[in-house]
Amino acid sequence: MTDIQYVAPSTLDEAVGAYAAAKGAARILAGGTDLLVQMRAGMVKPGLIVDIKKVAELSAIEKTPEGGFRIGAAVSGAVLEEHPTFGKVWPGVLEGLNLIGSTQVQGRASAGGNLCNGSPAADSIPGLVAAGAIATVQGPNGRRNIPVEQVPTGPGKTSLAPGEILVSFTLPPRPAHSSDAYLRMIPRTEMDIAVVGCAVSLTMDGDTCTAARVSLGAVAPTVLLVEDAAKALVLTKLDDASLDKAAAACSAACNPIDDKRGTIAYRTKVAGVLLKRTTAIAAERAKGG
Amino acid sequence: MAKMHITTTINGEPTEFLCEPYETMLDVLRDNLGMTGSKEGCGSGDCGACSVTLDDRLVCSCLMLAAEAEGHEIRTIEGMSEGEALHPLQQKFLETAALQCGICTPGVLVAADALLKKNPNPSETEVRYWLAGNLCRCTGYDKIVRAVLETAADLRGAAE
Amino acid sequence: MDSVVEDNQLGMMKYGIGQPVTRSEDPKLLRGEGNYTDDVNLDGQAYGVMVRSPYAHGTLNGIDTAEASTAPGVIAILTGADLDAAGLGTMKCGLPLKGRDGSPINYVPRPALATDKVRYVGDPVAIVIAETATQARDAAELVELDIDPLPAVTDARAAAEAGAPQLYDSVSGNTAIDFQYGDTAKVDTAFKEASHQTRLNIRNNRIVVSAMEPRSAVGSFDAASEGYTLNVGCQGVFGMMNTLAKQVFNIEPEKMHVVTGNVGGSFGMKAGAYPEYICVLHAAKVLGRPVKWTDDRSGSFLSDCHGRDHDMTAELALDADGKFTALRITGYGNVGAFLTAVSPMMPTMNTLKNANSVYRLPLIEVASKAVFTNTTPVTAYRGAGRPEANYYMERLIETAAREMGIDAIELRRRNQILPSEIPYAAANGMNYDSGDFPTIMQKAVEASDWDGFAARKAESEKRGKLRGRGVGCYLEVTAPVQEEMGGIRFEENGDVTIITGTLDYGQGHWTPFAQVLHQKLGVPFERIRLIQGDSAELIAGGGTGGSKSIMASGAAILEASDIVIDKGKKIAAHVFETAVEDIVFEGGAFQVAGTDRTVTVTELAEQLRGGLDLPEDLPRDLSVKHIFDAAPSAFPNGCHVCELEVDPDTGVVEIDRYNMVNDFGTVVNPLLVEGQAHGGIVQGLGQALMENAVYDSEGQLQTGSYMDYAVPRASDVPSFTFATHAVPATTNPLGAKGCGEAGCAGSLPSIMNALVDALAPLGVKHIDMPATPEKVWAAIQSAKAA
Repeated sequence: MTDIQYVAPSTLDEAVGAYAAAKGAARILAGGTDLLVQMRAGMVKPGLIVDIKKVAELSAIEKTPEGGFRIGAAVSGAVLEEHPTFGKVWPGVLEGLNLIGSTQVQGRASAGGNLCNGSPAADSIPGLVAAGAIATVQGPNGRRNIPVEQVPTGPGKTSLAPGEILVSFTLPPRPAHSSDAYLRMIPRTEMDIAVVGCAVSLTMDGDTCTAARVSLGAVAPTVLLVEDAAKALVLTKLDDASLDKAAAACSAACNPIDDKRGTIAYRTKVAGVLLKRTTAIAAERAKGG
Repeated sequence: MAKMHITTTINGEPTEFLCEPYETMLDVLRDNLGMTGSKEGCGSGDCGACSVTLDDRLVCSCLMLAAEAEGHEIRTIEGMSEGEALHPLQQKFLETAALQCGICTPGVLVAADALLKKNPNPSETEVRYWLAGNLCRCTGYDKIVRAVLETAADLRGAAE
Repeated sequence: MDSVVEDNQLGMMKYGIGQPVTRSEDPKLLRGEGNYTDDVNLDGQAYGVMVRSPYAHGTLNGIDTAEASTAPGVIAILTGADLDAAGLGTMKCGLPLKGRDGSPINYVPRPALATDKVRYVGDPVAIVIAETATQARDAAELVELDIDPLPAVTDARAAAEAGAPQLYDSVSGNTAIDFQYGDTAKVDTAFKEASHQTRLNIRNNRIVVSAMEPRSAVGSFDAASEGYTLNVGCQGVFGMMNTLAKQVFNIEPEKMHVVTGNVGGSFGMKAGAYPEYICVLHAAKVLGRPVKWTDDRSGSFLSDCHGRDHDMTAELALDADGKFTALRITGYGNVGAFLTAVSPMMPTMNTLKNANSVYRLPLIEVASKAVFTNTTPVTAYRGAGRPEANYYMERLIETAAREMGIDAIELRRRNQILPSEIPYAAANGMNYDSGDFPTIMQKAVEASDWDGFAARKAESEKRGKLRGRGVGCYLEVTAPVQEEMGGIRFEENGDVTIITGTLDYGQGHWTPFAQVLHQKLGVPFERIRLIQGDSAELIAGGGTGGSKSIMASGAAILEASDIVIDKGKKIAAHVFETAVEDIVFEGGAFQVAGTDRTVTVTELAEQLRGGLDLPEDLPRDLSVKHIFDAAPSAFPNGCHVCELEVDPDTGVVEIDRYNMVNDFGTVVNPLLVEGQAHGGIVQGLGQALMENAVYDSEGQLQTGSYMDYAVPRASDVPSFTFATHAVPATTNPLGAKGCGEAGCAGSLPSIMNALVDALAPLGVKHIDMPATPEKVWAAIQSAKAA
């Protein structure tokens, strides 16, 4: 603990340089809500902490030329919530990010940190997966883009190469009458770790669903994109039969573990319940928008 | 290795301190600066007893490195009242006995103050969710929530 | 003249008994200026960190401190061998409880640091002392423990079975005590002859106490006086002093100075001595400098004593009219790896005393074993057997009512002890002196809008939710008062200091105690101070615990005040040059009867300070050091009504309405009493719906952080409606009954009865605590399948 160094570079190149040079002994500090807990518990003992919050690109929220959003990886849920339009376009993404911990944690925790921590139960990730968000990463060998669902590869593991830093998330432009929602089930109601999380993103044409993406968290080693559930919803009026079919697809996609927080049976069943409820909320929002 | 030299503002006062890179803001407040009003209840961001604001945003000082304070502004419980006069939230907590052992109270007050600055007219549900990050084992929250709602109403009344 | 009296009476009204006076300590606490143990820093202090066993059970072959000793900043590492070599004794459980064969508790002494075996995960084996806490923490990781793991047992029932791993060679069957009370033959007969029997297997889940202030201690030693000082959060410094001095350090108690400032919650958990306190005291002596230890939360989960953890079978026998004829509770209490000073009480005597509750009950039997396991020691936790025993009884009544087709309120009415039957000698040996149980239940029923329930239930159903309602009547037997100091000191600056040995950890004793003194002696409320946390000031002190502080210190203050008055009368008689018999004390003043010649207590104290010329046989001041001898238990009681909704698809429970009517006897300060009820209810709510300490088969605590152990948050709980119906106690001078633990006793049964009521239409008969969403969901699924 006593031989740690701290740097707070102001450019991405400096950050990548310092991070890569430390060869695995370094940790990225964004909100710190995972890192400081892990350091305190002795789970990680970094030699170098790279605070990326002074890098402008990582703390920015921008509109893309195509009409989508680009969110810096270090942007906290509280900052994103205060953005004048983001929450109107992507209420479900925001819900997920602002279910990470308490008000205090939301003031610091970022989607980037949530993704890089690699928890299958990360609350902000299903919303980004359902949104079709693209992660931009930069390392010693340059910059690349990958779909968010391809970043986590297992509990605590990601596809980021050594020295690579997550820079931002890009969300696509939104057709009219589109919206999203996120719900999760936890052992208690507000905080703690999800036993099931479900995000649904929809585009509606009147009462008909014309496009859908469905993502589940905490029911498999990584956050899932459930294409069968989306297929069951598209080109339907979200009637009971379609919702049952989508819920069944969600339950079928589950590959959870039995642990102290929830059994397989419970997680599997509740995944279907949440799919229906999340879809109803997203559809209501999409019609309203 | 050498300690880091940090220049920051605490409760409106320009402040400089030396810290180790691994020390948290809470460590420095309590151990280096003698400001023991912020408490460590868990060290993992789960209890909120160490709540402070960083550039007016509510955070857990146990989940923030002291080095991150460089160039920013911190506010703690010690900066809440002005001289002898208690802050309206503190006064309401006093009048309604919305505290018992008092160990969570500084964090609760800092959090409630941040809420009322952001939302002067919160619902009971909004107060309960905003304060969900502040664990209290004594009061059952009832008096805390009522005190925050009553203070909000008083402040709105005073502003009219 | 008249105006003085009126002002005084106005003052009495504002600060007298029964007034909602705000707390004198709060301005400091609200500014963050409280003085908790971790806020104490002594010159030259070093920092201690404990090395704890990572195994639940094992033979401790050796401790290698070589590498740790050379780590930066390390000053010393002490092990059990060092404490043994210094001749330190062990912590003991001296409860006079007897087993069914008359044998005493099979207690085992607890050393501060393990030497031969480790018996739970977290069992301390060494303390590392360094210049900074971080250095000590880093070095502690370098201490190598040579432990041969042994099979562990964490469940009390399993530990009592033949073939279970044995924690102690000297304790057969891991059984600390095999307790039995009641006439087994008569109870058996009553069950045979009963027209209905109800039987429930009930789990009283293990609780992590989770006071928000982690335990902390600063030990120091003065070589010149050979005196130790311990700054520590506890529930009574007099008892802590005696335990450490007499049991462990073998010194005169006055050489062990225990000082307690503000305490950040305890709920029973911080009452006793802990290994860490012994370690910092001994280390301070060895090193010649103060040593501070503060737990971190992950340490707290392992090292703070836990609460509850009983497995009971509860049975109720009823006649054809639904009259109770016998109650039987049998089972096991898990005491963890060591006994605390009180831990064998909860599954045995306190279960017996409290299960009777407000009901007419001819026969009662309690037969239970307190059993050692490879888990964190269990001690008193808010109610300490009282809430659980009431919970068993109320679940039995609700279940019997459903089985017999009798309305549950009606069934309670048929069995409640009537005011005309009081004093009532209960079958468990308790003598109820006061109470009006039927009226309290009726008032609670009315407060809950009983008749509006059907409409609310129908409305819930429209939203797909199941609504349930539950009642929890309760009666608690508070701890009896024994030897409490009532000190009243008239200070040089005009302050009046109350000195007493109860000690609050959030209850706010200062204000109600001052109210009692103010009303009795008329001294100005704002000049009254309280000393409760300095052992050097005490000549007795029972400490706080068992909801008795207002009875203990309140009575001690009243009796001490009488002595002040007696002294004052003698002095006033001299001042007024009259006979003592002519002096009356009224409205805070000594008066020559029938004249307008008066002197207030405050004025007389001031004259004494100024130097009165008094004959030798008269006292020189008004100060008093008195010991209040004893008062019997009181019987706070009440009725809670809870309404909740269940989401059948997810099992989520949400409490919608919560009403209560309580009898706490004389209430000195209603502002504080209501808060005590709220806090107790939410601790009960936590136990009922979310909290559960879980061990795996190897004895590792699975719920060792706030991510895995759910303490109720503001968003988890409703607001409450509070009312009182007071029937003052006749057994203590104030008429108070104690309120600290009652909230828990009402909330466990009312919440769980409401939950079962919501699920009963689906066929659910009982559900164990904590009723987590998953457990509720699973109960619904299995009821549907059946």
